[in-house]
Amino acid sequence: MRGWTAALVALGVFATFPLFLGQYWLHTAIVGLFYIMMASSWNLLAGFTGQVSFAHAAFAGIGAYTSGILAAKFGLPPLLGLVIGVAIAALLGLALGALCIRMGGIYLSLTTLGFSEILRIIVVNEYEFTRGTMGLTVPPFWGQYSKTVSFYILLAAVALVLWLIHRILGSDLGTSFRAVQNDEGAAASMGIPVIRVRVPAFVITGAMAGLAGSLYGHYLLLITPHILSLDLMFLVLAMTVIGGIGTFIGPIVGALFLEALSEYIRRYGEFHVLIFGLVALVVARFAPEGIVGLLSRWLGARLGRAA
Amino acid sequence: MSLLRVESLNKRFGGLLAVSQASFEVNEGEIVGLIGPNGAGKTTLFNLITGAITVDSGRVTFNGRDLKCLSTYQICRAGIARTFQVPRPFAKMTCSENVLVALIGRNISVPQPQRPGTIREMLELVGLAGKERVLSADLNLIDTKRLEVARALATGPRLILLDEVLGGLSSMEMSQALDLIRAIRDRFGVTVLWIEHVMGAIMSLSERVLVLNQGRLICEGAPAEVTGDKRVIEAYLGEPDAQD
Repeated sequence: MRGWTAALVALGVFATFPLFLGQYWLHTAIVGLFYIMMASSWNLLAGFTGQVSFAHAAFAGIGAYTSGILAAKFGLPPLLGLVIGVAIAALLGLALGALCIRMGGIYLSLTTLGFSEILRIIVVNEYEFTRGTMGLTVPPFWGQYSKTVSFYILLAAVALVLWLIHRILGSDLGTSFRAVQNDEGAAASMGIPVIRVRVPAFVITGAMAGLAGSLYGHYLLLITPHILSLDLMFLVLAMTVIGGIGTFIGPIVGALFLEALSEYIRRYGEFHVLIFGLVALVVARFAPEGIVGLLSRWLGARLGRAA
Repeated sequence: MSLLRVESLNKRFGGLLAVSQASFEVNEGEIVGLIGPNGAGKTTLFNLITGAITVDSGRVTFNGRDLKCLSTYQICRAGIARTFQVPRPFAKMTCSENVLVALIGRNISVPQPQRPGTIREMLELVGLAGKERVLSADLNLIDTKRLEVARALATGPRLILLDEVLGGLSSMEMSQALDLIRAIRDRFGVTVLWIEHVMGAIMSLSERVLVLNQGRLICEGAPAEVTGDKRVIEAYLGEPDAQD
């Protein structure tokens, strides 16, 4: 119950942002919401089933380009485009998940990396539909363009995605995820159908990334190959690891923290991804549970001493 | 009636014939011991029965059903549970959650409301009461072995394969463990096939003993018959004139 109260309070606080944030920080908040969806869903795949995929940004790209192209070239309403984009992301998640069934560790990572790069190269070169590196101009998701409306749409999507992730983690499927991550062979010997756990994880998280990408594209009004680049992928990875991989709160904290931080250090150029990568390495080595783990240990120690 | 039937089973690892022409049966309600020197192929036999590795040739039937086309999780659901010689707990999960995985995986998942009770029952049975919320990574070796048994039993099996669950136990713990194995059969009606190096224990509890050496089943019979068998003594101690 306390968790739900905290979640509702957090949602309420977020919902007041457009009332006092200026246009610039509202933009930052919207980008932060996009990254919460990305990091949390990647965490469900990498942190809970142990499948460290590098194709997560690619799924966001699939969602963004599908609904973007359908809206810009074929005049479909963005909502319909979004549904189709999510469906295609889920379908490709099924394909990639099935391809990776027998792979673990570095082999799975390399395969997904390859998938991601192939997709990026196609998007860059398939000029007619995607307009390559020029970027594809797309209409806003809802009516006239407005940052406030976009903010609420993304906030609703974040609430939906986090609620789903929370439901999954508390379900039998979530328990099976963790069992498979810990030891596939032992899980199978206890009656857990490993394939039917690993593949759905790809489908679900792929669909979530597709949703995030589609909404993000319609907010930016311009979709470029950056959305499915490894840059973005590693930023999502850094957010998850620094926040706390394998925890529910970690990716949320990491996404907001790093997005805000990157706005402050933006003037130093594109080095911030490099710095985040290095910080993520240090965190993974010395504090595997990230900021959230450090905080809870620190709080636990303080409370323990007080009691 | 035979519950498990193994017929001319073969498994080769490169140049090594790990299991060769192994045939035996385990009857419903029996406690059957499987012994043999190190490297005899005992654990390989368990891995073949549970589908953890593929069979080269031969056949395993369980309850009249050929296991050939079944994968590991289906074999578990068919009613064969196992423990691992080197325990493989889900390290980042608590003891309760470890057992919960078995309740989810078993043939007919235990309904939500009954789960806490079943988990507590299983953990109490193996002597892990009070450790429900301990991470299994933080257990000592003996407790992880107990957890292995609790998980295996929680899958609701008809046959349980125990792989060296007694190693490293004190004599007090040993007698508790033997009581547990007896209870698995008597109270839960589960047939037991177990690998053990502690001879006193396996001889006192098993109704029948199978002896494996270099992948071959060299002897089968009641404990007293087996210990007196010349081939078994040779397998363990070498041939009498090999010393010359």
